[in-house]
Amino acid sequence: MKTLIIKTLLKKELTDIFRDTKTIIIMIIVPTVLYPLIFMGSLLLTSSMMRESTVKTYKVAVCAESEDYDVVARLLDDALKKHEYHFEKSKLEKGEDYEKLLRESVYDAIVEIKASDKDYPDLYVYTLTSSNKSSTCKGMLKDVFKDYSDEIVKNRIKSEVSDYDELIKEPFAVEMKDFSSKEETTGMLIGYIMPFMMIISVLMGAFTVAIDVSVGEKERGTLETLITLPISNLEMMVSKFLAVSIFALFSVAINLLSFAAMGIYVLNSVKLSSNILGGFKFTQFIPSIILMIFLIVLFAFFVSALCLCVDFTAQSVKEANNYTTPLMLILMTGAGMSVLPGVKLNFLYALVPILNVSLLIKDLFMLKFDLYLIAVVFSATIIHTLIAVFVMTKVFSSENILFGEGIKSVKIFEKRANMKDKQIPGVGDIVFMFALVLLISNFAGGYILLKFGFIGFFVSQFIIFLVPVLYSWYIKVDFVNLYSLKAPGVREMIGTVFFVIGSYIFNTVLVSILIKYFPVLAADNSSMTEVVESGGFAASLFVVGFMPAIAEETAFRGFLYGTLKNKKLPTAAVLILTAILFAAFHMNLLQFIYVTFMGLLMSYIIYNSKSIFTTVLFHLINNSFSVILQFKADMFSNIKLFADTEFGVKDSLIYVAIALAFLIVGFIISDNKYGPFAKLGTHVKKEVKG
Amino acid sequence: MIKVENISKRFTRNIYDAENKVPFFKKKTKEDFFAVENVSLEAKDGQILGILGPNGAGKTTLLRMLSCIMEPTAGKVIITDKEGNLIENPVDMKKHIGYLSGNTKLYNRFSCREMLESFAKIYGIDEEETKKRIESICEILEMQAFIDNRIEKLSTGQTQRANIARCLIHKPDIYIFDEPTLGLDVISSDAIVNFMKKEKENNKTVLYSTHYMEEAQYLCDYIFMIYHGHRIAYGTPQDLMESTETDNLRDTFKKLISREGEKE
Repeated sequence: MKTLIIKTLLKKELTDIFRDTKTIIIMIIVPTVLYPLIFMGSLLLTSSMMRESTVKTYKVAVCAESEDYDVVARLLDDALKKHEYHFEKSKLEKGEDYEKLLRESVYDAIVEIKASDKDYPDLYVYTLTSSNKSSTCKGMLKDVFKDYSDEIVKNRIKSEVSDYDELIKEPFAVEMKDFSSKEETTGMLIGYIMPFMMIISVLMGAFTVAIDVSVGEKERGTLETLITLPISNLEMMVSKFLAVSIFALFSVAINLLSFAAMGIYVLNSVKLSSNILGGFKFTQFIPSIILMIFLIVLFAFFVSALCLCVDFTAQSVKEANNYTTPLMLILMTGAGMSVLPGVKLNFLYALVPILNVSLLIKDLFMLKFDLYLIAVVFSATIIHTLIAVFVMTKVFSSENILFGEGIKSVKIFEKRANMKDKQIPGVGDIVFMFALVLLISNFAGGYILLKFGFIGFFVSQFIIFLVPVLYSWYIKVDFVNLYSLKAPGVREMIGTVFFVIGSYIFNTVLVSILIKYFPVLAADNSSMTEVVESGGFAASLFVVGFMPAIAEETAFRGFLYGTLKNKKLPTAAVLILTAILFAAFHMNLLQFIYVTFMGLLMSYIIYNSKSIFTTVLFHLINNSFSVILQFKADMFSNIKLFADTEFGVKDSLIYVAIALAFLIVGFIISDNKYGPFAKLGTHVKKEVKG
Repeated sequence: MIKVENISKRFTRNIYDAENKVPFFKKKTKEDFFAVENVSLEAKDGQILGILGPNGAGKTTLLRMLSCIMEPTAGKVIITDKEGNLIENPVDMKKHIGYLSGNTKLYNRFSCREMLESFAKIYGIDEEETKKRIESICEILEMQAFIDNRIEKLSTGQTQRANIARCLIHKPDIYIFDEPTLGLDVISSDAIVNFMKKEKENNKTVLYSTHYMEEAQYLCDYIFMIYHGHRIAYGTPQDLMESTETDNLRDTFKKLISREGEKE
């Protein structure tokens, strides 16, 4: 990948985009002209509506004897002083058709007074609720008559009791005190608008341009010209990706400026500033804004890669539009969900794309800085972006975009009869397969976990095993190659035992240190432990010890590693990627940290032994031992490492040294490249990649 | 020099079954077919190789694979530079090829000069050299009048010349032209034919496909005929005419095609 080429291509893409005057005009006019117009328009509309409703005169007809009429007329006149209600009263003879009069809008309300056997006559109010004006009038009349009735009641009580003024005194006082600062109040207002606006502006910027640089370029025929140039697939993808991201950020910048300008205008013109915003310090928001900008840059990368992935699968601009519309709806729903009451940022939401970004922006403006959640959202967004970019560059090549051969690396969409024998899945298959696993185990497994507790673990492990195996069967993979089904050497098995002991000691120390310094991490973990304990020893040993050793190995060291090792990727990248995805799959930050170390070790083990049985053994010993430790803790009470949960610096160092010793011995015994016993093994031959 | 050995390209196409109709949709089955199958050819420096064949014979696919923008299903493209060194990397191979076809459109929102400059940068040519080359290309293709105009404003002939200018900017050893004279007037197509002749004198290799038989007969050193993805004839125009006992290439072409049709 050459920077000069990327720079030149990026310049070309951006020139091409910015010379497309129509897109640019829409891009600039919408936020700078349309938003303020809509905003001011709605402001004007509401204020004029409010004014209209108070100034309007309501026609009320009264049907009564003359003295009753005078009472009602006086009440209606008093309403002007008391409530600013304008009534135009008129007298109505008996026997008129009230409904007709109301329907023809001659009157807004009709009051009929009928004598009763009480002191006062009863009132009948006729209105039309379906008419806006009549309905308002009804409410007003209610107020007027309520006042009159209260007045009468008051007079009655007054005449009966002597200490009336004493009685009506307020029995207690209620004082309201608001601890929110002015900044928090404003922040809440901004916090509700900002996430939606930011996400929409990223989407608006990315969507049009992503279509333009992908299928748009194909349709205009310039893509074929572009690939006659000596550029690699990666260079082309990266420059297109950067161009879309930059344009999305440009759209954000315009929106933000327009929003800020509008805010300043409103602050200066409307009296709002003195009431709500008096003594408001803008500087309080500077950290929020800086963090938001970083987050939005990451988010723009994510959305750009996502859009390009979708658009590259399309054959034409029309098709791309069809694909992106549902995507846009999904993304917008994610953005909108943040304003729902009760949706608060927590660890789980922090992992969900889009929702995490919008929730965090909201929190930032409400001046809530939870460093742990901020870190989780940022890392989750970085991981989402990396996955999207990886998929984009690996799944699509300029050739299959241009000549419309579809997504080559997803093989599942072919009929089984048409599948080639002994094939290796593509990178797209990895994405598709894991999406399936996640979907099924989240929906089915999650539901069962909620309902039946322990059995949920069983089901989700079963799914993790079944999906990759069925997938592989369907596309007729080369099982022996993909799943590294090969008898392991004795040396490698012995080495694995040393590795697992070393790794277990190391992880015990690591976890204790992590929990000591980051207590939040322990919270997610403890709920897990409870569910596991509910199953009993034998069942736990089976579901937590035995099943993952088969299922997770099938999915990760089998399907994932097996596919990647057959691709033209650097070995280190394959090993690290397998480890990180394996760790990320645990969906738990504490586990993510130590499983990454374990995953790296396991990647090395399978790379070295070329047999999946070694890592199965590793996984089996590791998980089973932790189950045994949990249920039969008393067996190990005299071993300090397992009995204690906290270690001193000296102890920690000793344990780490012991762990390293085990790992080194394991390495010496089993390594097939540098180890002293390498020549003894039969697996010295380097596996041919291709 | 450019050479291919046993090159093949397989595509998948949908076959709609008219008998087996589901309401609204036709039942489709997928079928693999070879657009190009087991083709070998070689073009040496200073040669013009004409590729002839009816529509849908696989000419464009073959030329796309030769110019390294499409990966063959089987077989390999071999390119050597003037010194006879083998070029391995497909990205480097593209530096030795100038490819032009009806599908290689230009960026409408750029001027010819801007386009040539940015392409030159990608080929790794420095700015001084780029300026010189653009000037000389302008002279060869008579582009001075419109070099600074946006491409969307150019006529068909001018656009085609701008497209050829794009192929020249990196001074390739091999030109691969897919129907370069299609739809052009006599003057523009003559300019292109003359350009190819001149480049041949400069010891460059030219591969080109065309439907104009007279042009091919006059211009080509060798003719390669392709039909349904297979080679049906390969040789100098004279050889081909003698072997089919005809006196012009148009009749040779018809005769060879009908002969193939009978075989099937």
